[in-house]
Amino acid sequence: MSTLADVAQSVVKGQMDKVKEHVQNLIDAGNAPLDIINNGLIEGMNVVGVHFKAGDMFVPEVLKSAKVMAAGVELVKPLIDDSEEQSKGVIVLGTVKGDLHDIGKNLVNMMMTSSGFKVIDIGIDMPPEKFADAIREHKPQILAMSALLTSTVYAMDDTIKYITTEGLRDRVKVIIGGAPITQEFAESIGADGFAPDAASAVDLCKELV
Amino acid sequence: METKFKVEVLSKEDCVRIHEASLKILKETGVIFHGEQALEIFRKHGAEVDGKVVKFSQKIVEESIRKCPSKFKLTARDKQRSVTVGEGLLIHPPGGEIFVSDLDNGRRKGTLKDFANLQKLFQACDDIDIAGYQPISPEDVDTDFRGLYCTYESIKHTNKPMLSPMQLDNTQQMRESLELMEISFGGKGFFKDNYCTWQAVCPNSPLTYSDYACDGIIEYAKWNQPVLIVPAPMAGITSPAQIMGTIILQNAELLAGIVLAQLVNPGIPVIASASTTFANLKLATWECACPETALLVVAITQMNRDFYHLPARVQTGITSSKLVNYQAGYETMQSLLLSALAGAQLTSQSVGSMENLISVSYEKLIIDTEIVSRIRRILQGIDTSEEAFSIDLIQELGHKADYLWHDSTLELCRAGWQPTMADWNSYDNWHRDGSVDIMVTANKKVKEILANAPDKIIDEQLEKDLTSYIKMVEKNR
Repeated sequence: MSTLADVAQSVVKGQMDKVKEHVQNLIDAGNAPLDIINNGLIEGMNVVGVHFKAGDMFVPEVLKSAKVMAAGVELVKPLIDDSEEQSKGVIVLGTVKGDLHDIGKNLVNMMMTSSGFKVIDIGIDMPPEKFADAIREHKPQILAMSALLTSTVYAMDDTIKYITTEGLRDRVKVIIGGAPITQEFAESIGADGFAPDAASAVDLCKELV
Repeated sequence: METKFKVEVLSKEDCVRIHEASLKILKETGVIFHGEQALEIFRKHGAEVDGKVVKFSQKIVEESIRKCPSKFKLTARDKQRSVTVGEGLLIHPPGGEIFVSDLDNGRRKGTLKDFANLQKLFQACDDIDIAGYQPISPEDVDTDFRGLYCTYESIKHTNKPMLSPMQLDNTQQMRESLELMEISFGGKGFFKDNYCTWQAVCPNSPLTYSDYACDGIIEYAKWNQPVLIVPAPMAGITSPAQIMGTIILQNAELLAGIVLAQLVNPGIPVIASASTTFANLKLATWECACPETALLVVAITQMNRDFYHLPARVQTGITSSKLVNYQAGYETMQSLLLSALAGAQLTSQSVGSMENLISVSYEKLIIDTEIVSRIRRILQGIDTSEEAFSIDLIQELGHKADYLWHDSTLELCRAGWQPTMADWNSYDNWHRDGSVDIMVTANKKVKEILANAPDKIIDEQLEKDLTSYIKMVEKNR
């Protein structure tokens, strides 16, 4: 007998074999697939987020939990009707023009995905036009931009100005992140939010959607 | 674990020259011993005694050095906490400070309650190996009984190896402190077969052992307890302004003390301390925190540990700062790191001491344990094994920056050193958590330790035995 708590616990501990076993047991016992995802797998990642923020978990451990969570989702996914599939929201994510750094962005992606968001990662060195195209195509609730260099943070300003002239600004909440970014900077370029780390970014997205 | 890297300021030839020069001083100038008993012992063993001046032959000095063990076990009441002195780096409490300070009450004269609190902190901090000693002099206790009460409070609050207090002003007080301590180990006779404590014996530079210092060597050696000799000349004041001259003078003092200890009890462990300071001649005061002092103690540690193969203690990790601030941090780290890299095996004054050993800070004590922890990590050096080369991994991942995601990183992610005091958070997270200064973090930790520390860690029976011994002493005085 496995419980949703077992699933969550396996995610927190980063136990790949255990999570597969518990998820399979729950499927066999007739539990609703979405229940397994929302109250088992995602619940586990919520706990991971709390531990990480408190400094009790290290990033490689968080990543392992995310991988374990994803493996659990893979088992459940075939059982979900397309109509039934639901996410907390859609996020378009990318590193801005001139900046090739993606470690932070990928971390944010992993954390957002693990928390139940659908993340469209458009990649690195993305000009404003590409962000605008992605808004049109994927209709996200949130546009998330990343930059590491002090010289490229202004591309965030350019991107916001561009999507505004394209008439897309009102369709999305814009959030930004990266080492040189501050709340003050976010406000100065008219972004809707800023988060200092990946776990906080997830909280921010939950607030905004 | 021995470190693969070491700081040295003397060549092998320099060490030989220092030894030979010290022998010359010992043979031609000699050392004054004020203790009549000590003079008698020297006479009996054929040393040249002229009044109170004792002159030493090369033979007696070198024979005495050979009798000293290079390491020994220091037994704690909790056997798990016993340590080997002369192996690795051990940290013991500060000693001799007068004032205490903490964030809430500021700087003040220390009381017996402060003494007890400090012992509770030593007991709780894993990076402090040895407790007891005398981190402050309790102002509220009669000087006649101060050492005895300090001994009692140490026994009451810690079961780590325990050093004797400094304020034992005569043989009788030393004996009382030792008897009280022996009661805590289970009673009379325990010290005969176990090394459990020592007292700091400090010659009066230049080249003089007071009555009191003689008693310290003789009494502890008779009890079969180790002898700690702490020559502490101040370069330019009580020894030459030349660093080398000061090293030679303090070395001669040390060797003379070793001879006395070995004549009293052949084979008794002697701990040699580098506690020498370079003076601040602007004020004619000692300056524990100057770069020259750091160099001096490195050189003396080389002599004590590498040349004489004695357990090498260092007075280090010291600051003259009045506040726990940037100066306190860099001065503490400067001397402690250098001493540790020189191979110091035991340090005093490294946790909490301030103002050139005048005061001790509760908060600095806690912060300093992190410095100790950092240094212990540095002393471990780096893993240079074949596996650590990670060639397969480098070739597996090639040009992909996926190391953070890789299982090899997951396995090792907690192996790295982590601070207990320093704040490694981003500005935003630090700000979110209340922009806390390290002193506030340390203050919180102090309060947490003291709140969780039991009123005593000894049982009722032992407490009764100890207090009735103290009452007996007080009645008979």
